[in-house]
Amino acid sequence: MSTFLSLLINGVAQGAVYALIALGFVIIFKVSEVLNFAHGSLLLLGGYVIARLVPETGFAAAVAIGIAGVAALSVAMERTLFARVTRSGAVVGPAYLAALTIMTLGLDIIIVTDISRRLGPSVLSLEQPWGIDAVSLGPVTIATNRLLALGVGVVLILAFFAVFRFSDWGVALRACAEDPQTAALMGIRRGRVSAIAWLIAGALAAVAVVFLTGSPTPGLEASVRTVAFAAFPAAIIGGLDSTSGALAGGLIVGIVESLASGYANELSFLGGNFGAAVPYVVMLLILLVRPAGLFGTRELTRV
Amino acid sequence: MSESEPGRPTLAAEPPQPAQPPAASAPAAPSAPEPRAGRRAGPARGGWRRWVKPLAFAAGAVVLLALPFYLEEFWLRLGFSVSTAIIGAIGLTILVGGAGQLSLGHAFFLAVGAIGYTWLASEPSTLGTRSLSGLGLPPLLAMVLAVGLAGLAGLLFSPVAGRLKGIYLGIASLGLVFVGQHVLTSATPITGGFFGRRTPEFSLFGFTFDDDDPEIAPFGIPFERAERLWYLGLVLAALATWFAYGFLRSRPGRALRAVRDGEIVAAVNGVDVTGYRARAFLVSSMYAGLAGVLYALSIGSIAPESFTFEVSIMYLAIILLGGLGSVGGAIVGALFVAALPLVLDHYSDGLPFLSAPGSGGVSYAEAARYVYGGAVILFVLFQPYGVAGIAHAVRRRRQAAAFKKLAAAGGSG
Amino acid sequence: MTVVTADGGPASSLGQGTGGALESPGGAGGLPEPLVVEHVSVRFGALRALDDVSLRAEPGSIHAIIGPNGAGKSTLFNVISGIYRPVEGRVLLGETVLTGRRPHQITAFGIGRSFQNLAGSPYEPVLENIMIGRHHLTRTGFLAAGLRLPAARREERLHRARVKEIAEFLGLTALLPVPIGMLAYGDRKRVEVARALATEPRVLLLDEPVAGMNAAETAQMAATVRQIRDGLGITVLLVEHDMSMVMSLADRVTVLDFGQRIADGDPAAVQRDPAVIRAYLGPGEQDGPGESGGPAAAEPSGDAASDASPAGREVAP
Repeated sequence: MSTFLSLLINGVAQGAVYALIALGFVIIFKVSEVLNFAHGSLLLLGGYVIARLVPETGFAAAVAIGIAGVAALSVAMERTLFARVTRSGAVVGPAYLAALTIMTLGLDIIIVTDISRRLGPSVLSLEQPWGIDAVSLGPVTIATNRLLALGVGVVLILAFFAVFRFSDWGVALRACAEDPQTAALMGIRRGRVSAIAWLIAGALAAVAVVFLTGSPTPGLEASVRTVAFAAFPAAIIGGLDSTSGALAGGLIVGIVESLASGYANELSFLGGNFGAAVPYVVMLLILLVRPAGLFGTRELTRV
Repeated sequence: MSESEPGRPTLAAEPPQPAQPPAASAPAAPSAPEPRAGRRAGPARGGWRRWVKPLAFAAGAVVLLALPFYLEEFWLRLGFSVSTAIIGAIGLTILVGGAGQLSLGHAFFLAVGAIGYTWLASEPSTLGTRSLSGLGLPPLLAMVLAVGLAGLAGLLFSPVAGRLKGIYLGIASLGLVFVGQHVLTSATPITGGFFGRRTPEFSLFGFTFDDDDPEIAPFGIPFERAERLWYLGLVLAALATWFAYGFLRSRPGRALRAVRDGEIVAAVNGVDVTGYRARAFLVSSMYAGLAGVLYALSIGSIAPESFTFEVSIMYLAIILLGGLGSVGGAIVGALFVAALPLVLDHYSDGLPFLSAPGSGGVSYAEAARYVYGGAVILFVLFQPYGVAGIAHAVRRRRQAAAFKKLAAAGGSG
Repeated sequence: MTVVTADGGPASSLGQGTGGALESPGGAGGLPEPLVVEHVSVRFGALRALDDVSLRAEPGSIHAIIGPNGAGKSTLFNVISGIYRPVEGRVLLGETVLTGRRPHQITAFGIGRSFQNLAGSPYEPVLENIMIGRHHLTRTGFLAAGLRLPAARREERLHRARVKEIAEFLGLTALLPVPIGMLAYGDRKRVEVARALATEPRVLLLDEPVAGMNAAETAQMAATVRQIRDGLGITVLLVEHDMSMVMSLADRVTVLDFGQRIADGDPAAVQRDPAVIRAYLGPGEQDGPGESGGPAAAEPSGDAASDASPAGREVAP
């Protein structure tokens, strides 16, 4: 029972981190219908920047610079690459969305190649001050890193939802997502809305990497991008256009992943390392029943 | 057509009766695919112009067939890799460009083809402590069945592939890569697990595609593995291209494009949208399966670990650079993306900015990835329809001019 | 080879003279059957897009459906072609229940439809865009087409020939090789109709076929629609804002307003119907312009601008 509880809490904490990443996918998707495959590599980049800066500046400053840097780069990408294509209107139709999405893959290729090359086989530490501490809560022991992830995740998610719900930007983003033409007629500057979405997504990714590379993982290696990929099924499970879906999807993925890894021995008939595959299995099963995810809106096409 | 033309054609009962018996319909040679009627609005292509394309094609074919007599092994192996990439890329461009469906699962179907072939063609064996199963089928049969297996995998996925569209399918198929890798790595007796297993050589009715069984040396040039595989790749890539042009320019291709350009309109036109999405996925996965077989042959061994998400991205880069939906573009893109790392490797000694892998500098593989990653971004920004888009723009400019002339003539007449 | 003479010629060239030469494609149709809409209701959330709407389109007639913007005309078309499923009611073609079938199956039963918006693949030539209408009449699959089997090539050739006839019927012959993205608006609309005709329908749904056309094009399209009924024996269901066209063409008119059927009858009767006048002019205005106004005057055109207003029922001066 205590194993189960411990796995559950770990799963929820990891799920909160996934939710932070998935929120980034969702808000960018909502405003531009582009799925940002470079998100995982931005996260990797953030981790790399922080890990390199930590010895010089200390943890807090390194994290702050890392977050600011990734957010800035994210906006810069939106401004220089995506806004440009969207504005020129050179491409239209579904092929256009595919092209934009593939462009994020191009970015991903470059960033990942570069960071992987710099990292090589080494594992860098972000030197989180809480290190490998663990906290005992009754019968359950959990890494401080995970608890902090949960705390920070909850705070950021609540803050995000408050902003999304009440700020001008949140209203504008939702308006753009619902009806771009009317939004434009009402004077909403889609470009600005989009830039802010990319900014927030980048910042959330950089926060996420701090916890993804903390205990019990050894630190930052190139494969952290693949770990961040688990946020894809999270976003899809919840519904790509639903922010609360991202939260739910993140938690589901975190929990099933944690349980599948924790009970690996009992699940050995499913093959080793089933934990890494299980988010995708869950995603495929949910898509079979609900093609737009749990909270996604089914498209109503006008003719 | 002037009004005075007597006897406006009758809208006859369905189906229309053939005006002539279909005797004159010799199957089009692959060298000269029937120009799509109505593709050109230009003036009727008379005289020499109609021969340009078949002649260019014949010349190209002769050159490609003769190359093994002149090229060293490296280039022949490169050619085989490019053929592999061409087949895989055609499969993906049918899906992404033809049907408007994004797939990141291509690597999985390559894996099914590669592993399927290896398993079907291998004799059972033991490697260290692991015992590997195998059916020991003739390689040609194994190849066909492996393509069928990849198709079956695609078919099993069709409840998802038919119902999802665009980016949702993209991520669902990403799931295929991860789940598939897990399943394949776990199935050690078939796949060799983490360490993989050796791929049996291809052979055709006793003629083996290896160095010396039987030994042949036409015109004194010894035809070894690289030469033989060159021809295998060439023939299969040509057939794959011919087949794709065949269905893309006919009813199935039209239906796919209709689904891509508007599923409701397509459905009202009588196209079973779900069915066609699923079928596009099936055909695409079979192409990927064939590419997988060739990949296994070119490497000589396979491991599930090789078929990562990066492989899927590489194929997407190929078709984007070529132009989504264009078979010709897929060929050009494959030529570029598949050849680049190998060529850079080949000349890495002479290229000052390259250094050995692992030395901390930029290795050839990394350099190739920078280049095609950058090319993808630049193409979306400046040439979103890829290489095919450039060709298309030229053709459309010709069409527009011809159209204007036509309209002017009509207005005055 | 001319563009303009073939198309832009007087409408009469299609209306007269050719009438006798056109044969009904009824070979596929069998018995003439009415299209019956029975008590159909559609809801989008709280909005009742259609509320207990019934109509009966007699075989070989032109049946117009009119109403202010947002009245539910397109929704009704979407129900008939199977895109929306009604919460209540059903649609029948003769004895065959269409409701509950998928759109491509309904097409196969002989319901063709042209779209109001510009549909089709802009980079594909006219011929290819019309050919897609032949989809359900043809069989060639990936294998047969990829291998260029003789049967596939024959099928392709026969249906191309038929499509060329249909294009000729709509005066599109000269435009066959032109990508539809390059066509003028009116030409593109005719491609839409040709495409719908290419499905060899027994019932043809035309969604605003002349919206945005000039007077000459409109007259020509009217003649074509009449020809489709008289020459081909196809039942036409027509949604159109051009009232003079509707009133001169239609054998029967159904009027929708706020998703409800407010009138149904022959054009003259509908034009006099007080409920119709009220619907077009708004409450309290019925004493204003009087009968001389009527729907014909009240609805200047089906232009999209009026869609922007939520009510979408401004009074014409």
